[in-house]
Amino acid sequence: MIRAAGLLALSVGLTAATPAWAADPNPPNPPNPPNPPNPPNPPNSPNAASSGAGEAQLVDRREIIVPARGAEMVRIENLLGRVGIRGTARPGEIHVVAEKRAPSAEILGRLRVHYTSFESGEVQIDTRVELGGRERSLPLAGSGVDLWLEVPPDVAVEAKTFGGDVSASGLRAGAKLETTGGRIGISDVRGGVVTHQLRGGQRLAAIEGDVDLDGVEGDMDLKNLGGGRVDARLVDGSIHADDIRDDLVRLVTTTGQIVLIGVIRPSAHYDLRSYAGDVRVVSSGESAPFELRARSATPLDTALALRGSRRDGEWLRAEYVGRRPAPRTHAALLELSSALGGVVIQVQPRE
Amino acid sequence: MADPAGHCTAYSIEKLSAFVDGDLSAGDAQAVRAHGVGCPRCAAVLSDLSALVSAARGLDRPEPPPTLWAAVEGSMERHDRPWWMALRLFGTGALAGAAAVSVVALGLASWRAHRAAAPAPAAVAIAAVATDPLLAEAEAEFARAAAAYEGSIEKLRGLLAREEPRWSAEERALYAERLVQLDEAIARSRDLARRSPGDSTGNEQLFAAYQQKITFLAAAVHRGGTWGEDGRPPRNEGSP
Repeated sequence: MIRAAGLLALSVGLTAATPAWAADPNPPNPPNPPNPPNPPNPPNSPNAASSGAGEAQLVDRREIIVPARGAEMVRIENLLGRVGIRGTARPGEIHVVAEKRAPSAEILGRLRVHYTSFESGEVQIDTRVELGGRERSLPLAGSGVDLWLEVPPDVAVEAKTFGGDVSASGLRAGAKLETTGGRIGISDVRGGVVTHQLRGGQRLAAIEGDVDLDGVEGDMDLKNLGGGRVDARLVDGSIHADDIRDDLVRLVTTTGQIVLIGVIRPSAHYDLRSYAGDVRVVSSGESAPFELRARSATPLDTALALRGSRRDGEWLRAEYVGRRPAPRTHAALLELSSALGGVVIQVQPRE
Repeated sequence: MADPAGHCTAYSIEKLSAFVDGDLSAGDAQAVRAHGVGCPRCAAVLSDLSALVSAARGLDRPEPPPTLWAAVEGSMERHDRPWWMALRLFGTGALAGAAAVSVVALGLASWRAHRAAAPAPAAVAIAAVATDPLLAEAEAEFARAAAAYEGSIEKLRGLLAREEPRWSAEERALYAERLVQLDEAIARSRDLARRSPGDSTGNEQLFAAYQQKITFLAAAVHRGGTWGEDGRPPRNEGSP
């Protein structure tokens, strides 16, 4: 049941400076520290700004505090531009900065931002364009709306864009981000993280929770993840993972490389697979003993001393007992596979 | 899942209609979209409903009585509500209100625009949408995304061409059969999208169908032809 609904009737207004974190040219990076919100702009003063293509555009920027007492979930759908979310708002409210841009006042007036608050504890914020007397959720090339939100840290967040970047940070109840052609950036999040992307690349850092990533094109850069499970699936791109502390690490790509840097943890299961690219593990410290299963087009290249090597069909099996064998340590399982490339195990030199 | 008449019982017609109208929550909409990709019966119903909605949008809209908003406002005043619900955001006539009012809120802007001009005949309204440059922009964006999906599918097909000769006849038959199903789902979704220009529902379903095919092909590449029904990328298959 809907509890409240609103239409941010963003008519025209002065262009104010976008907050530094909102204007971050590389959203997949962890956003900058927050700026205090700017005061609302006076209406009826459209301001011309230059678009990336050099064409003069009108920009209209508005802010609103959406009441969100008891909210447990915020869903944002913005096919018209970017979305940036930070978990820095006070409990019970969502701070929204909406920035519209269009080549004419007429088109600017056809871009809308709505919020709907449901009794279930869900708040929806979405953007639409008026077309033929009806508001529709559509992507546009020459006009758009960017949304910058500060939400209470303990609400779950789901956000969807079309071509715009989407980023989230400072959340404590997980995030689900989806985009067709934008970049994804997530940092400092506790709770489950789920992504879906056609292309654009993904960058995740400092996540405490299960991670489930899905991409078609673009690289994935994962750093400092800890929780239970990391599951990353990519078709065309490389996966670079550094300092992953999960018990199950599954990284799969079809055409790119996979690089895992860090310590092999006791009892953990690492499943790294590429069809056409190399799979590389760089041990950066005192790795636990592990059982290795490797398959590659070229001979295994390893800097760690393995023992018990034997062939099992296409697979090579061997064990690593550690530099200082500890009988009570549970071995990890390392499955490394590249159908057309190589499998490499390196040791990172101590600094 | 079908009743004796052959209709799929996974979703009621009301639910499918709500999906086409954009009235479902994002989670429910995602579930219906995913179901529609694999269910020809529901896909056909969705296609028909979308066509119906598109046609209905072309009809002339009756002018709301001038007292409507005053009546709604009065109704709001009679209800006990938090202070913030009484606000008119930005003083521009936008709305905040309770459930019934939200419908009015979403439609008010277009109603005002409608009042400013003489009522247009249905055909003129349809033509106006069709020639709106923003619609062309949106369709071009969708087309670019579709091309990206198709490009990825072509790449995977190229990789599979290397793997296929190593498959058994049975594996090749299974692969071909599944591919036909996926291509049919894509064709249905593309038809739905084509019949409802300016409606993201059809395109979302098309992208979901592309995604299913990509997932299947990627899994086939990794698994060397031995994939399961789940369509998920490889797990431990192939390991000793």
